[in-house]
Amino acid sequence: MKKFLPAILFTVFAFSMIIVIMGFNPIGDPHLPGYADFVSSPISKHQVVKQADSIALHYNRHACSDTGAMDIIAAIIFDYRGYDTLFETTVLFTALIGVLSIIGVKES
Amino acid sequence: MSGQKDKKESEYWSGIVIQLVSRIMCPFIIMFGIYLITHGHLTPGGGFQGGVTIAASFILFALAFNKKEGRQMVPSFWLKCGASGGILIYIGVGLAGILLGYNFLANKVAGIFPRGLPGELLSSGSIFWINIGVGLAVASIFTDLFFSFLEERPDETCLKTKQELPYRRRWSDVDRNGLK
Amino acid sequence: MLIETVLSRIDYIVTVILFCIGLYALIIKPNLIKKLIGMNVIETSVYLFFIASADVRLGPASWQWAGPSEIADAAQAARVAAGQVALVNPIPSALILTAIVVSISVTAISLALSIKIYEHYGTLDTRKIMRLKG
Repeated sequence: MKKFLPAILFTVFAFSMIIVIMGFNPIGDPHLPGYADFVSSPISKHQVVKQADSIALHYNRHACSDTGAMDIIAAIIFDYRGYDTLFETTVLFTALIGVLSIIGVKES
Repeated sequence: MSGQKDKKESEYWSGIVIQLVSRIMCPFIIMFGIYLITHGHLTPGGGFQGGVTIAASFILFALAFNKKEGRQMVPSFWLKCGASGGILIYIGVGLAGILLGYNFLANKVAGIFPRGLPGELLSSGSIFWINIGVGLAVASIFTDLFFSFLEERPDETCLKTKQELPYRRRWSDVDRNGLK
Repeated sequence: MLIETVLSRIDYIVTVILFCIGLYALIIKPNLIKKLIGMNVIETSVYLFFIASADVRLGPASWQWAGPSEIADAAQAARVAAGQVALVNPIPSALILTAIVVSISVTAISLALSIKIYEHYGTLDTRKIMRLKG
């Protein structure tokens, strides 16, 4: 019994989370956080819905003309969020320095 | 323990098939990584993905042969230079905007870097050069992480290592017939 | 009705199951390496959650329509500019790239510390390590 108690507890936890998740929008629905301003309509007719201006729609429309990059994700991570990516690379570099200082490869 | 380790030092870690295939595949994996980096602004991909792909080719080579052969391809000094130089390229691209009187990392308004039509290779200004810097840094950092884990030795100043420890399983124990 | 509800949210359910598996490994398993594996499984579930929430069904990927090129679709571009087609949300993909890099850094540092812990204590079992006290 003691061995199975954690498994039972985690199953209960999973089911409670699944019950919460059932209240979310279905996957592929345009009524998602980035597209919260969509006006209407079920999935099958989403060609006719009207889009309001959210940040994702702004990126989708203006990224190509703003930066000249066809890949919108590259435009976001290297141009709109250039500082973020710079310090992301710095985080990797710091991790390398941390590993080298912990493990300490000795020259001999 | 130490005698067993020293005997394995010059041996190859895998069979002839894996060695041959990795020797053939490594240049193509590096070429695909360079493609991912340089076309990062046109297709899915970019500096991070391409850099990881290039690092994977060096790791594959080191795993197919052994530690010494892998280290000969990528010396420690050049890996450190690549890791620092990639980030310096990124910062230099950012500072080029400041030198012309614009913001840090200014792309389109500064107009220093070639801005062709969208869809060409030399388009999108600074994104192309930032991709190259990030790819260089990420490839060097991942390869260096792998080799620093591979060449890790027990510390002599540590108290417990002077006593008899249980035998440590290493990568060099992975034989053709499986784990010993 | 219930089956439809479940099937339309199947990615989220997989996310929850992965999260619980990772949490189980992170809390219950005594081995430090297995705890790290559990942490990585949790991170993977978070990536899956973000990417699944960005999807728009039948929406084109964000690089397929932009720009005058042979892979670009001019009619699609006109429809996007007119606001008639919902595109896949590009922001979660950009955020998850940051999360992947941070998780790799955390994993590398934790593995290095685990190696040092093993050299010092001779074991990776957290129960034994807590009993040893230095």
